[in-house]
Amino acid sequence: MPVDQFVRHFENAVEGITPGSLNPDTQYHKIAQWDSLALLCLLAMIDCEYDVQVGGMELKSCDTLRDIYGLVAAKKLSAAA
Amino acid sequence: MKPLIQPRDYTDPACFRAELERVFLRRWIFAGSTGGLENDEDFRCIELGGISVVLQNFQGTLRAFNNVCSHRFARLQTAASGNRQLKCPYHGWIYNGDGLPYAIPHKPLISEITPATLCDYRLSRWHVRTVGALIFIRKEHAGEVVEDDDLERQFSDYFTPLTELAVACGELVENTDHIVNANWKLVVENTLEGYHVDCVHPTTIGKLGMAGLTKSPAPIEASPSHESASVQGSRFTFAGQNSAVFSPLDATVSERMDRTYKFLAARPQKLSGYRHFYFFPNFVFASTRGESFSIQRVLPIDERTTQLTSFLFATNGLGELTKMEAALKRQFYASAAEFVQAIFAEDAAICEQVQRSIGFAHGVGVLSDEEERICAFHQAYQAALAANP
Repeated sequence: MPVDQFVRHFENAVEGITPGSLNPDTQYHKIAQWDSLALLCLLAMIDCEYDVQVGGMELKSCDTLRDIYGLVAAKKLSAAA
Repeated sequence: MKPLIQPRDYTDPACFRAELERVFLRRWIFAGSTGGLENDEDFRCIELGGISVVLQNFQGTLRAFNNVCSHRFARLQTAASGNRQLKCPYHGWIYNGDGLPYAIPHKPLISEITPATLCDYRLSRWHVRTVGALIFIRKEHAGEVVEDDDLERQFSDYFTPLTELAVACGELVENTDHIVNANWKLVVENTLEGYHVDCVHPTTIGKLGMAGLTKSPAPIEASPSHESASVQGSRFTFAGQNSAVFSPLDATVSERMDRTYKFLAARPQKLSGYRHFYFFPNFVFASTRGESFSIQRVLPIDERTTQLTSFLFATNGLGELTKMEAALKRQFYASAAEFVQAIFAEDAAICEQVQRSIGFAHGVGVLSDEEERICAFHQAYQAALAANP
């Protein structure tokens, strides 16, 4: 579950993002495409690709895509424990 | 426009009793959804101004009765919902689907009950109709003839569009009861105008970018799936004692939603915007683009308290979904449910504020063109109160 792969999934999930244009340190909430629809697409992508549920409120503690990846990874770990 | 209902009528117990008798016990009211009532002996109770009504499945047929035993007046069903015979917990009388007590313990000791007098102990009955998964009930009154098409006539020109939308309702994704400390009329009036959106819902409804008001005297199209694509701005329509508003969504937003929510492409009702119906006296049905269906049931408890129940249905007919589409669908409806809850909380808070201050009102207030549906509600209300019971 490398973080780069997570970034690619994010680029595919949110409409209008050029593949390869983002990196793990991108502040996702500052990209032009970020809005409530993009948020739903992100949550659905995490649900689909990583089989964990993340709530919109939980993302408030995340600044970058790497932060979200860390949140997802932590959820995966606690689900497996 | 001037309101036709006086401020004191929102706090007066005598007025409330008159409303109960002449408004709610004399016409069809919305009672809830059929969910949870599919099996024999499934039941659910609703409260209407102190009257408990039980909806119960009798071998596949839905019936409704006053939830009061004819013997010593105990409640027959004491839980809000469940699955059991319609049996009094006090002395064990059991009632059938006609409301007659068919099993009475120690019956020979009650000499007054004979085959000839059994009907005297029939439960007080309500007519029941379903439209899709929606249940409507109407109190039976001795000597009153209720025609087969009575519900259709009450819903007037909106019966057909309601039916088309109701059958598109799929999974129930949210169902919540809210106790609002406000008169039921305030709760209804709040649903009938968008004038308050900027102040009360700036971060919820206010962000949807709906167009402003234009007025149309024409009745709403019979089939909402074939509406004109040239509609500009929100417009009101009126049919009998009911009213509706249609608000087109910003085209750019709609196109983006189409691209994002491809899983919804097969939905049976493709509305081009937001449609909101109010059916006098207690039923609200709304849909955004035919993607979800938001329903509200308004049941008065007393002159200062209302039970507001929200139902959110997903659309049916989506067919097989990919894993990603299924995940997006879950997020979409979870978000819609959260949205509805936020709006309800905002509306409940403002209605309760009005209830606290309406007793100190001077004059009757005033209504803007955006509140024309409130005026229609007031007219329907006054006509109902003036009718002979």
